Amino acid sequence: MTVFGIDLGRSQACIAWLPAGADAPGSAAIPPAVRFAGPDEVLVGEPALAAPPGESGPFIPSVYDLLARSADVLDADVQAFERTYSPEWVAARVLSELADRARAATGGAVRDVVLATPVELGVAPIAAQRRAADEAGLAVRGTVLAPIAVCMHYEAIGEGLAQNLVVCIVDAAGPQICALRVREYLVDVVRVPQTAENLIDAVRAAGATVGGAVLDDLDAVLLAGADATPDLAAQLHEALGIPVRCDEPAAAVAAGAARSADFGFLRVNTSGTASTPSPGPRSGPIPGPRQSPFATTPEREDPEPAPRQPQPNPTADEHIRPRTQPPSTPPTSGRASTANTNTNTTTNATTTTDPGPTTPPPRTPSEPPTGHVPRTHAAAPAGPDAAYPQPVAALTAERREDHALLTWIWPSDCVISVVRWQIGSGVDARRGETECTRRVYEHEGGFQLRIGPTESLFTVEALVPGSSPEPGPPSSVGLAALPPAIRYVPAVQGRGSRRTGQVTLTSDTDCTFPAIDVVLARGHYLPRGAHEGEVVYRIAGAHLSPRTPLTVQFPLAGHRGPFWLVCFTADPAEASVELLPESLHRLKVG
Amino acid sequence: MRMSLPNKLPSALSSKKLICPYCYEQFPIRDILFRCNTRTGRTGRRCVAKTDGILEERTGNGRELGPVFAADGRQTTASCPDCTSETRYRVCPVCHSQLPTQFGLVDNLLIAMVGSKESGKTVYMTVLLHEVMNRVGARLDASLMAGDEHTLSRFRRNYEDNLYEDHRLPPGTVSASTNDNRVDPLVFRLSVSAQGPLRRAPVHTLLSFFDAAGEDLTSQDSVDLNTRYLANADGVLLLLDPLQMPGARREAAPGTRMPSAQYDTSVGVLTRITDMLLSQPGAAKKGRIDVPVAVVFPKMDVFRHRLRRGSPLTVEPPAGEKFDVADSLDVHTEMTSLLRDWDGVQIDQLMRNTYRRYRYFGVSALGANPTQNAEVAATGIQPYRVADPFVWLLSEFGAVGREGSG
Repeated sequence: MTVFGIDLGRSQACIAWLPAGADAPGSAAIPPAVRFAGPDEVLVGEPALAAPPGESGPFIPSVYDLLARSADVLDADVQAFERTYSPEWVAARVLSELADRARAATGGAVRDVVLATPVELGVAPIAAQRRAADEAGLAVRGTVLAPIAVCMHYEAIGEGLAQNLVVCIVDAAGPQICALRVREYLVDVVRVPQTAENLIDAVRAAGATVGGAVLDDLDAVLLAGADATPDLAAQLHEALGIPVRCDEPAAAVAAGAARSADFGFLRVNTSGTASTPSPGPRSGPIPGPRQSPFATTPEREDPEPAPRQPQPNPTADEHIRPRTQPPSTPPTSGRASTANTNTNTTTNATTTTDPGPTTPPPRTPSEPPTGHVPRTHAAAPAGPDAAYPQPVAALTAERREDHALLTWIWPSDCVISVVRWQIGSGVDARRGETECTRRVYEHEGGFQLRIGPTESLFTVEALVPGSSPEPGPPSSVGLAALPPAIRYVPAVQGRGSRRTGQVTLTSDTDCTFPAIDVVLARGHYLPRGAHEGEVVYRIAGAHLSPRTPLTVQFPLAGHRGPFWLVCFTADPAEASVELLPESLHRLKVG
Repeated sequence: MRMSLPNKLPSALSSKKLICPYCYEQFPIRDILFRCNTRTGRTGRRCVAKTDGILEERTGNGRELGPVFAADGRQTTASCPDCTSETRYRVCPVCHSQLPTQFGLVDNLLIAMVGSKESGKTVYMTVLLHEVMNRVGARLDASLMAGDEHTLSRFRRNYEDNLYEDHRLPPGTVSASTNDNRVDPLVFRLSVSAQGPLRRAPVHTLLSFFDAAGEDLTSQDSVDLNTRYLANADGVLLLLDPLQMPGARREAAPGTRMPSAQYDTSVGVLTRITDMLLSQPGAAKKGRIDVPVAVVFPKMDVFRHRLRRGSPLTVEPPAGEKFDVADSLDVHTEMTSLLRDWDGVQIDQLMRNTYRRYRYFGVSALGANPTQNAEVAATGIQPYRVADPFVWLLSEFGAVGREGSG
């Protein structure tokens, strides 16, 4: 299933996708303009711009602005030919046109999308974009900040990467510049106000916010947007003397959004204030034990479609801002639920956390935090009780059939940890997060989550009062997926010469099983292998559909019970599926 | 509506022989004594509190208390013959311990916990009781409360706080031989909400946990010290440490904290306990001991890496309101199989041939190996299946319902 990235920008609407096996993304772009040409005629994109004004109805040059305005005014509906159209309906025309073009280019269905959103856009306009996508028949799998999407387009975020970047999105509406400090899965995003007279000075100022006053601390400039050109990149490179990337800039945001669907966790700080200058960038891989089985994915406030009401813009990302711990923490359930399927395993994974050489040194208490604002439950100012996210030690995940048990060492004085998870991968991945209180952790004996048989990734960070406001990367641990399992239940029927044996096989997944030997063994102890009994029947390998039992019967004349009936693969080396008894004690039959 | 205890015990109980939950001595109900509350009576007289010699000798309790007097033990109250003050303090006629409020009114189950030295009995009992008071209690819709003030303070101070607050393993249990042949059971009242014919109603059971010191089971002489406790127990939790089985020690995870070199073999402990139980008159029916025995194999976390997929010891245990029969039989089958791998066939043969009601359980009280400094692992306590044996015993007594079938 292909996931499409959509950049509904101020001067250009773009859709992009990642064709299988191709290096470059595919894309299509149109002006985000809509013109009501008649009672039943709506022009979208270039035709809307090209049509003469004449006697036609309203013209919306940018549905981006229409959606943004809809959050601030109570009545942003469009009146045309005695009808009223909601902003979302109008924007949906643009999105539908984009989807049609992508459908024509790829020849496949266009359904799952990730929306790229500018940093300055508030919750309400983003929710309006989602509603517009719903109106267009698209399924929004998430949203991602535009500068983050640009980083993903240039593959500038990932395991072992630590660098200071400036993302410059240039289009007809002017440049949007953001400074980013990337520390593996932790990204500070600072939008730089446009006070400089020219782009070069603006980029230089942006670089100073993340890399200090010296541009040597800036690693690269990433260009995106319809008006970003190789010439502009060359000018910047010449003036700044640092690498400037400019590959497929017009589609960079949308392509990065499409790429984000396959990423794992990413913690993004958009506090809006300048980050503390780092001790210095360290490009290239960072040594450390965290080996994630997944790529990273952006994770930020992902507003669901909500009733249209004027709402203030958020000032910071809720996920990453530290908080003040309440005086008494009410117990919350440490057990979080998610979709699941049945399986079991004993696979365990352990990791220890090393904040890595890029973590800035702790601040002294007198030093005010500048990079992160402590998160409070009641908008309280940052005080000595402010709690900041810190990695935890000895994070371990233990598989208990279709459950995972997470354990870690709690820092002293810490009473809340934030647990995030990704179950599965790709477009089917399920993500979630919850707060786990220490009391519940101790009461429940760890943090437990139902995960099913798929691979899973967890991150845990402790909210530590009085700790350094510079958050370290969260600790992470993964669990591998389980191989397919076939469960079986033996039974016997009849007596004497008419006695028959029966084995019923079931599976939760579509699978093909190899030849299976049904072994009859006597004695008090469960046979360990076929050599401890007599093979009374061989089930030929076959295909097994999910939750469709397959029952085989075979003669057992002359065998008097009780005895064990146990299944083993005919070839002991065969490991494509696992044969599991539905119930151990029911293996003794007769 | 306030409920009060009936003034007279049900007639069905009045002729029944009772067993004191503290000293495990038997006596008829009418022999129960009363202790004066030392308050001023109707006549204006007041008894003086003084040390009870019998109580001090039997339990070590030298506090000054009201005098003990005889009255009709079938009643729940009596008037002191000296001061005429009415008292509700009923005491054991043998050890003079104050009996729990509902003693004689509700079922009285005595559960003895035995096991070899360093098998982790005290840790297991602490975690078990903590779990039943919290997580398992919520699951079973049951509450477990201390039966008396002494148990309440002692369980917190000597057991729960040690493990859950200070994260230290409790010190070894004091041997009866070095404690004037005294043991000090913990007495709790378990209230389980059970479905009656018309509505759910709480069913109360008094539980007496007796934690025998491992040293007391190292020889037949020392086992005899605990004869009274074991012989009168309604159920036995028998802890057999796999790490004291040579075949299992080899399979433990690297870095496992092993018992000291003086450990006793599990089969040796089992043999001595079995001999003692068999020697009790009427203990065996048709040649086999009738007392239900939950054979608990603790510290299973150190063998988890050896368990194959599909083992019931690798899954999250069922969390229903009742005892899950099928799951328990699966664990029993798995442990039987493991016993074979651990050179424990002798244990299995002895259990099968000597006990009529027994069940194997694999549990982990701490969930992780403690440190070499006898401290709980830094990641905390993660009990696994720790209440299964206890719930099975309760289901054997009918105090907890069952679901599923074998």
